Amino acid sequence: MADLLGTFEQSVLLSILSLGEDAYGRAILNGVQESLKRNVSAGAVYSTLERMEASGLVRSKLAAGTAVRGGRARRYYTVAAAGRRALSETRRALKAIWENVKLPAEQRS
Amino acid sequence: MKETAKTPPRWMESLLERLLPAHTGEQIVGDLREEYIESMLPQRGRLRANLWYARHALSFLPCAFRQSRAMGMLLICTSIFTMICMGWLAFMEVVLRHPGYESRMALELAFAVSCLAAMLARRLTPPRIVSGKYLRAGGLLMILFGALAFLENVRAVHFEGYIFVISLSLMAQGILTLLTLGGSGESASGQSAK
Repeated sequence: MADLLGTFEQSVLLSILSLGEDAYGRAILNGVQESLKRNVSAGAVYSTLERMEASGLVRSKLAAGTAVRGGRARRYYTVAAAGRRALSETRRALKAIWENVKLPAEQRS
Repeated sequence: MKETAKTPPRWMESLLERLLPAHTGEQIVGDLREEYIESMLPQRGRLRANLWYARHALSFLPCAFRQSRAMGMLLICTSIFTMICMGWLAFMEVVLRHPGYESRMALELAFAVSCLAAMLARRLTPPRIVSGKYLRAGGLLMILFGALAFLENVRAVHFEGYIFVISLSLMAQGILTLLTLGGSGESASGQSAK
């Protein structure tokens, strides 16, 4: 079984999936912040994207820049097949771990 | 209105461009500029938008240090020097056999192994041989012991030159280990920005 994804990696991959064709750096950063409900640095998101691209979990392609970006290109990301598999395995493993577990606080309520 | 009034400060963008590798720098700087102009500046005003930009730009520092060849070479040179010093100190402990030499020798050998691990971790990308957590702990211990040795030596009646050099080397290597090998992006998880 492959290594399970961490919370941050899952959040980045799920943001890319939910953004679809609009998944570029800025949108992913905002998506991760919304899903984790906390402030996240650009450095953490981009280094995670770079690492996941190196390990084949995501793919990227360049697209033309806009005037507001000073003509700088955008890099769009998609989740690769290996990334989808890793997400499914992580979800399955977490579900198995939590099955039949009731925390004391939940049992009282 | 001049363009500079609604774009991030030029020096901050230049700094960020210098920090980032060429193949990704352009897109990252573009993304941050877009967010700055379209969201941060209208919502927060210039000062807070600049602070937002600076925080995000600084969040790339650890990554830039990790990828910097010069920092890597410096870490490897310091590691080799510290490893030789620790080996020599451990050898002298065995020769001189002063009371309590076994524990000191074990500590010196542990530092020598830590130097070797730091060098191997730097050569292998991504570093998989040792967890970042252990490298960070090793770096902190080196700074601590280096500082203790430095202070003890300064306070001692006889100032030992080689202890002075080794203590500085230990502290330098600890700092370099933290800067170039500690963490892997997610660990920082950016508690800081926005």
